[in-house]
Amino acid sequence: MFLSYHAVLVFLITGIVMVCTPLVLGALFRPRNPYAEKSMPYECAEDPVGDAQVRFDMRFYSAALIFIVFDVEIAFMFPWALVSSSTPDRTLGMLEGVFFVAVLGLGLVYVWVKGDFEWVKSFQQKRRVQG
Amino acid sequence: MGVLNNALPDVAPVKAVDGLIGWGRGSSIWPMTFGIACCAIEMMAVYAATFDLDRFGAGVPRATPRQSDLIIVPGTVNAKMAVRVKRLYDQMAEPRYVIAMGACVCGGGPYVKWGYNTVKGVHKIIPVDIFVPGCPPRPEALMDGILKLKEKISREAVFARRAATGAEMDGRYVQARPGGGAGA
Repeated sequence: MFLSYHAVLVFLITGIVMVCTPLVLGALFRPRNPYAEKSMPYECAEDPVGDAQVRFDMRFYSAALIFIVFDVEIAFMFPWALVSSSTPDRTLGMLEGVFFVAVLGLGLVYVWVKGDFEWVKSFQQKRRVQG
Repeated sequence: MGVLNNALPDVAPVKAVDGLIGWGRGSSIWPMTFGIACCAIEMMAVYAATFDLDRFGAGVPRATPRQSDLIIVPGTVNAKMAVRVKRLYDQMAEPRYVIAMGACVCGGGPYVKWGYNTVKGVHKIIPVDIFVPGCPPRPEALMDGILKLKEKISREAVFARRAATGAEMDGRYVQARPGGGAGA
């Protein structure tokens, strides 16, 4: 029964050999000459400042997420614009596009109400609680 | 690592293999995305469609020195930039090559007399393989430089025990570092 999987074994071995051969060959005849300047982190030739493991502000993440929604929307608009003008029922195509944008617009209203566009969200909320 | 690099006797079969590897290396030069001054504009033209450096296998500039074989130094190198150029060269993977593009980089150019801040030739900080003169050099001149470099790479020893073809460098200006760059 296991013999029927011999193709997988051959595939696996071939994969391992194909990866390892160039690595071993390269290791055999490449020059090896590490020194401090060469091994330091690449920062466009500037002196590296601080730690690589910096904490990244979560607000960039939510901004990027909102951006992605509308970025993808635009990407869908192009094929829609091409196709909807050549369909026999243009009104339906137009309505479908408007519906799609409206759904995303609803999302926009949602994040707006939730205050995700406020860059200094914590201060705003605090003020709302106090006032 | 690198136990076979320049470790075999310089005999015919080894030379043949070296030639093959040199041909491969010379035909797939990976330059670094690097431009300093006006020569860089001409260099971009060489990369782009009209002159198409990719015909010689060198048309894909890499974004980091770690992936590059070649640094084309295009444009006036001033004292502040010189430190950076030196470090970028240092951070490139070996074997690495340098093309000095333009009059400023070859020897100071128009700034040779009064340019208080200009490095009078990039060979004073890093070893240069090919000098391409001109102000700026025509794209054909840079392509000729690439072809000359290709010739040079194909002559280089990989397995054979032979001295490197040697790039020119004015060693007086650079502090000697242990095991430092090629030809240093």
